[in-house]
Parts: sequence; C-alpha cells; structure tokens
Amino acid sequence: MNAGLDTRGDRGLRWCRLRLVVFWGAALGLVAGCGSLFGAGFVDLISPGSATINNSTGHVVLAFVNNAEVDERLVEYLTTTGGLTLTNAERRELRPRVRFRIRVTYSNGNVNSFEFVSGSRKLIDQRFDADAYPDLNQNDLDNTVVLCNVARVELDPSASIEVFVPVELITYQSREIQNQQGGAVLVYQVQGRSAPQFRPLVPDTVDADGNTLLRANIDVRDVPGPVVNPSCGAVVSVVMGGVLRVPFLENVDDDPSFDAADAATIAGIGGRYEFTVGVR
Amino acid sequence: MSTDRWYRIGRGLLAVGLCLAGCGGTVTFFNPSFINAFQGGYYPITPGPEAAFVLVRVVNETADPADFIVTIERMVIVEDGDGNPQYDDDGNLLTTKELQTVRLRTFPVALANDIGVLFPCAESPVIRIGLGENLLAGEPAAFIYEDYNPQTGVVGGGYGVAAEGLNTLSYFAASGPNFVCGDTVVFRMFTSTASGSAGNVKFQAFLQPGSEQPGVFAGPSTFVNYAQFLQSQVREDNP
Repeated sequence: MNAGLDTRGDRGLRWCRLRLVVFWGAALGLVAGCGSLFGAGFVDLISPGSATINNSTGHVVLAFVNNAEVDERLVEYLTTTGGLTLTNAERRELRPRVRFRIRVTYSNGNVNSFEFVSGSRKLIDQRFDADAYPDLNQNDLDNTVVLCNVARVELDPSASIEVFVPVELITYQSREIQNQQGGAVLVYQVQGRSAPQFRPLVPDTVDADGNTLLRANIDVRDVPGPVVNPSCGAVVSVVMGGVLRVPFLENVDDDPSFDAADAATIAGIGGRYEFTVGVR
Repeated sequence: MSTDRWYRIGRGLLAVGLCLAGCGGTVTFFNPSFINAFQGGYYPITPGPEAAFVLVRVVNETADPADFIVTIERMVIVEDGDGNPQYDDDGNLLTTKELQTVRLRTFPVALANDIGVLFPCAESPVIRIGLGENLLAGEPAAFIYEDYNPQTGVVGGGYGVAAEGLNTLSYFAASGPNFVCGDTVVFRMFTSTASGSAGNVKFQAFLQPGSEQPGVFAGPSTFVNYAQFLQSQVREDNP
C-alpha cells in the first residue's frame, strides 16, 4: 500500500517537472519567437559563407522639408550683379540652403546626431566645392531612418539652424557731420565686409511676458520643439517655411549692406522663418 | 483514462499551442519591436512595392564611430529651362546620370550604430548603390574616427577605409538586378583581423527585398506614410 502511494508520488513529480519544462519552453518561444533560435549570429557560426542580418525592430523616419523661398530682390541682385544664371525652372524651385543638426536619443540612452542639409546648391558659392567637408555642393540629406525605440528627437543643443547667405554683406558706419549751412548730415563709411557664409538663425528676444523686444529670424513659438517618445513606425517631420532676405542700405549702396548701428536690421539678416514639427 | 490524465493532456496541448503562438502568431502583449526583429510583420523593414524608395541602411559593428559614405547613381530626366522633359528624335525621353552622396554617422553602441536614408526612385530610378563618393574601387567607403568621447559624443581625427571586395550594387548587373525600387540595401562594417585593410575592418552588403515582406502590417506602414507626407508637401508651382 505504502509502496503504491510512493510510486504515484514519483510519477506526479515527474509530470510536474515535465510541465515546468514545457511551460518555460513555451514562455521562451513567446518572448523570442522561432527566429531567435536561428538568428544571424547562429547562422554565421555554422555557415560563415552565408551570413544573414536580422530583421530590424522597425523604423522611425525623420524628414526635413524645405519650403522656404528667396526674396525677389535678392534673386534679382544675384542674377544681375551676382553673376548667377538661373533657368525659369530653377528660379521657381529656388530654396535657401539650410543646415541643422538633429539629435536622436534612444530608449536605451544612446545618442546619435546628424546634419540635415537642403536647398538649392546653386546658391552656394561654387568655390566651396574644393575644400568643404562635407561637400556642400553634393551632400543633400533631408531624411534619415533610425531604429526603434526612440525616446526623443530634438535640435542638437550644441548647434544652430544655419542658412547660407549667398552674397557679400557690407557693413557701414554712420556718423553725423555738419554741412556748410550748419545742418546735420549722415555720412556712411565702409566698416567691413563679410563673405558669403552660413549664418545661425536667431530666435526673437522676448521679455518675461513673451513680448517681443527684438525681432530676429524666428518667432519663439516657431522654433522646432522636441518630439518625445514617437511611436515605432512613425514619421517625424520638420517643415520649414519663410523667406531668405538680406538688407540693402537705401540711398547708400546698391549691394547688400546695412548700418552697423541698426540692431533690428542686423538681427534680421538671413530672413524670417517658421518651423512646424509633426508626427504621423 | 482518468479525468486527471485528460487534464494533464489538455494542459500539455495548451503549452504546445502557446509555443506555436510564439513561433508563428502575432503576440501583442510583448514589445512589437521585439517581435518585429524576430519574426517581422509588425512594422515594415523595407519600403516595398507600395512606397517608391530604396532604403540604404548602414550598420557599424566596429568599436569606433564612423561616417559611411553612401552614394547612389540615378537616371535623371533632362529638362529644358522651363522644366519640360526633353526627347530625342525618336521620341525617347532623354535622361542623364547623376551621383548623390550622403554621409551617415554611426556610433559603436546599439541603436546608434544603425542608420538609414531613403532615396526616391519613382521618377528618377536609382541604378547603382555603393560606398565611396564616386563609386570607385579603392576610394574611402567610410571614415573611422579614432578620437571619441562617449560622454560628449564628440569625435576627432581618423582615417578613411576602402571597402575591399565589396562591389557596387547595380540595377543593370549581368546576372539580373542587384536591387529594385522598394528594396532595402544594408551595408555592414565589422572588425576582421583577416581583412588586411586599414583598421582591420571589412564590409558586407545585404539585400532585403521589398517584394518578400507582407503588404499589411499590424503597426503603421512607415514608408507609405512618408510617401504620403511628401506628396502633401508638393507645391502648386512645383508639380
């Protein structure tokens, strides 16, 4: 009698062990799927000549669309005095050359950053071609595809949004002198020249109440904000609108120029832009 | 057969069923990305026939940050000054070849070591894909940074490495297209002491055909969404 009970207990224990093995096997199958049993590393190991690569976890597309335009007066200046030749089609599609860095923080804390560059290459000083790195005349990057899972997408805090000002800017110093009749007259002297170059776009200066103190390149509400936890498979877009513009000091110079004492004009060099960030 | 035994058999069948669900079914209570990596079907991994892009991914499996120099060659329609397409005397559309190069920075840590770029291929078909600015053998395919601060992410000087033995992928290859519109091309760089190249790195190319992935996904259709977004951005004066 006792022996019979013991046998039944042993059998129950064996069933219990078997059920545990099957349960954990099932759990492993659920967590990893069959692919994990024959992953790339495993295939590489047994058959070095036929390496495979794992499926990706899914992607998030980061896209930049440059819808900004170039001020008509600047285009006229470039095509007449500036020596730029544009066909009608090129003129229609003319876009300011813009670059900025996007930083992606993944859910595991690792970070990557890359530079979006977009806009008409014809606006770039062609002499840049020889030395620049990356080559500004060849390198357009307006989308990237990153792996899931992304925790945050934002402008790289260590860099600015920059627009290429395609003309030389002349800085004038104004000073008041008296003419022979005793009246005051403003005279302008050239103080300096800045070559065509990328210039950082600056948000407006505002007070604590949000009132604009100095209007610059971007309204504080139009600065691209961060996107937090975009879902896997999403498309995160930054759409740029606005106009590339340079100042002309009226009645002083027909070339792009400004008065060194005119803070409002200086703040607006490069134009006015707005950025819209979207997730779809 | 006792009732107890039937219970045991039922539980066993349930366990086997769960196991099969793990292998072939779509299980939503685990991270979908996790499921996608092992059995797919949740998110697209390649643009596929629904989205006219070629996705080029680069994967850095070395111990250093690196810029991959990815270049494509595409056929571009020749246009006149007003943007109208041009034809030859026989009425054939005139096209010209154009190279496009992008540099993709990768870091030697998971997730940040894998990045891609989408090249539209509807109007201007992509005909060659490779590494190096001019798609020539022997030119630098990647730039490896020697100085790297993991805390700040700042990279310093480095050196270029050629992709020895890695041929440019071509649509017009003698054995048939190496890729078509909708596919994903993956360039993998890894450390290999047998490579004999600078930095002891070696390159491999992989193809993930768009035609082989399912047309319907449990998650969002990433690349179709991107195509629709771009379509929504086309301006009236720039058809």
